[in-house]
Amino acid sequence: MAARTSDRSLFRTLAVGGVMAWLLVFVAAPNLLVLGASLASRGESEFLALPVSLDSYGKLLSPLFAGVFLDSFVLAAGATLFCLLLGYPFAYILARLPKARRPLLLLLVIIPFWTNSLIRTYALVFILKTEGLLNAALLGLGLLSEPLSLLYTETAVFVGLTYTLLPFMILPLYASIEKLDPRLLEAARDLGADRLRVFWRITVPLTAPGIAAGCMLVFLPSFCLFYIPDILGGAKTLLVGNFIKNQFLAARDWPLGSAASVLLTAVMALLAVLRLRLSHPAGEEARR
Amino acid sequence: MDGHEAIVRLSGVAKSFGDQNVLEPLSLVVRNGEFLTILGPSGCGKTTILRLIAGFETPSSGDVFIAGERVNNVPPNRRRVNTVFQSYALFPHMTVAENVAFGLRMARVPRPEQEARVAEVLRMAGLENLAGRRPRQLSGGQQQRVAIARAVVNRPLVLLLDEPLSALDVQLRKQMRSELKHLQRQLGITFIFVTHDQEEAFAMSDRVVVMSDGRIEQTGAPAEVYEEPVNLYVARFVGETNILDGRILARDNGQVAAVVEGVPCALSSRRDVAPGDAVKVILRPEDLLVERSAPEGGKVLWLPGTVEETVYKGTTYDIAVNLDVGKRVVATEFFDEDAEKIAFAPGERVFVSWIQGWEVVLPDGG
Repeated sequence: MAARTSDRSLFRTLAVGGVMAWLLVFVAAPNLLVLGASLASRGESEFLALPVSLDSYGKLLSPLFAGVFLDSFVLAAGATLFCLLLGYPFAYILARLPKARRPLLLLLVIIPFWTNSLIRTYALVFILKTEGLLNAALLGLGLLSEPLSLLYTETAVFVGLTYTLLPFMILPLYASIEKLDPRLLEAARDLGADRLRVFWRITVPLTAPGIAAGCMLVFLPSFCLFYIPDILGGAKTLLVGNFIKNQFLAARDWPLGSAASVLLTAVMALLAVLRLRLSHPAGEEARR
Repeated sequence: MDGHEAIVRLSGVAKSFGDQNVLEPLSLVVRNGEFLTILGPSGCGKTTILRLIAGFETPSSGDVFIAGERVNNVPPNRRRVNTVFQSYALFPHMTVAENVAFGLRMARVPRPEQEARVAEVLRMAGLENLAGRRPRQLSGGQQQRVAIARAVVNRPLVLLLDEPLSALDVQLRKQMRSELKHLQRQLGITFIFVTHDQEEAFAMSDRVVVMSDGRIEQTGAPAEVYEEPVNLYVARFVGETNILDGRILARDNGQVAAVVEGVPCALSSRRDVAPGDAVKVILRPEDLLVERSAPEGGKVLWLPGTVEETVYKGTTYDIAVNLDVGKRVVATEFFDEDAEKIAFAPGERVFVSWIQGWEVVLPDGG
């Protein structure tokens, strides 16, 4: 009995300790390194030098970076909204299908993950380019007389982001819509709500945690997926992700790249806190 | 509106899902102001009737009328009926007061009137102190009250209740029975209550509709259904039964000469039975008489048997008897002054008969 208890506590120690060690080495340490780097100065021969300074954060206030940040923000917000508008009806229909038919459709959502997203982005090039599949189809159907030039535009980046991140929207939405008790919707109808009001007053509030999770999972990566603007946007469109990448690989300004990275982490933390507030409003209520 | 006006009328209503018939074509009139219970085992179609009236299902054939208006194609939100769901279906993201106010908000009732009506209903349901709570912070009984309050605050023409007591414990269920009956009298709203619990149905209803397999077997006042079941199914479903086999010999008005379990006797039957017919004689446990010796003479039959066991139930006393003809019957006796009479011991030889005229004679196979 005693042996079993100690076995169990040993297992617990190992399991929890293992995760803790992993988080320390691969999450906390790199983040601290980045934070440290962001406070360093740019060196002549070394990437990082002393003295400690806030110069890099000062540079983030420059119109150049503010412009990049704003563009990124608009693009990310747009992609998030678009994913939500596309993903919500899909997830809703999926969650309301007979149980036996759901796994296949869920599989279809997940299948793209089997291929590297970089490769899938190159595939998009073949669809979007001027002599690509999309234009060929539209011209062939007689819907267009001249091909659209989509590739290397902001639209292409938008399409790429939406395409890549849509599953991250659908999966949390599906999880929360599936948990929604259809009897609540009937109760609302019974009490005189038409379909639209049932949706806004019952469905949306009760699936808010899924909406929040999906939006976070789309919005944050949208800032950072630098290879999508690289491949689909040419050099014209910059995300914060591209900016960071360029600071490290091209401009060799590690402190600035690190400072931008810290800023993104801070934005992410802020959103995570907001999301927690959103998904546990009742808990707040109970504590009051 | 007088009490006999039809508030809900189902006319030849049938419902099937795919190739499965859930309701055979049936007709039913619900009178304004009555407490009607639809009683039947699970899967008999009773909940489907409720959903047809609420508007969650449309009939495959036939018509549904509410207050004289055909409502087949009227969506649930535009029907003046409200439902108390089995699971209560309270909105978890709203407080008790918000739940109760929901219907009034949807009907765009002016805010001051909303507040007054919600407050009134909450007081009536004894929920004033819980107005700010969320459903998950309430007990089952409290949730039940909120569900009822949320429905009646809208002053529906008909309140539909789908097994609302089944999730409560026995004590609370008994208490809620009388509260519901009370509420119905107080509000004067027609209640249509669905249950599989015969006791519940009898305790509350003005009329009971007994269903099986998508058909209505019998409609009537509780006493009528209990004392004059139209067939074996109803007899078995409402209360305990002892069933004896018999054959009709001759018929003379209400009196019938018959052989029951091989013994000649007289039966009374309002039903149309012809000489030669095989019949079942239905006897409730409280109709049976158990004696140590059979009185001589008369047309009364006494069936010999052996006491198997006796069960003390407080105010009553059950005696299970194995008849010599091979059947087992249960008699219920009430305690009275000469209590020694019913103190039977297992193994004792007894004779069983019944109070003349209380038997129900049904055609065999009916």
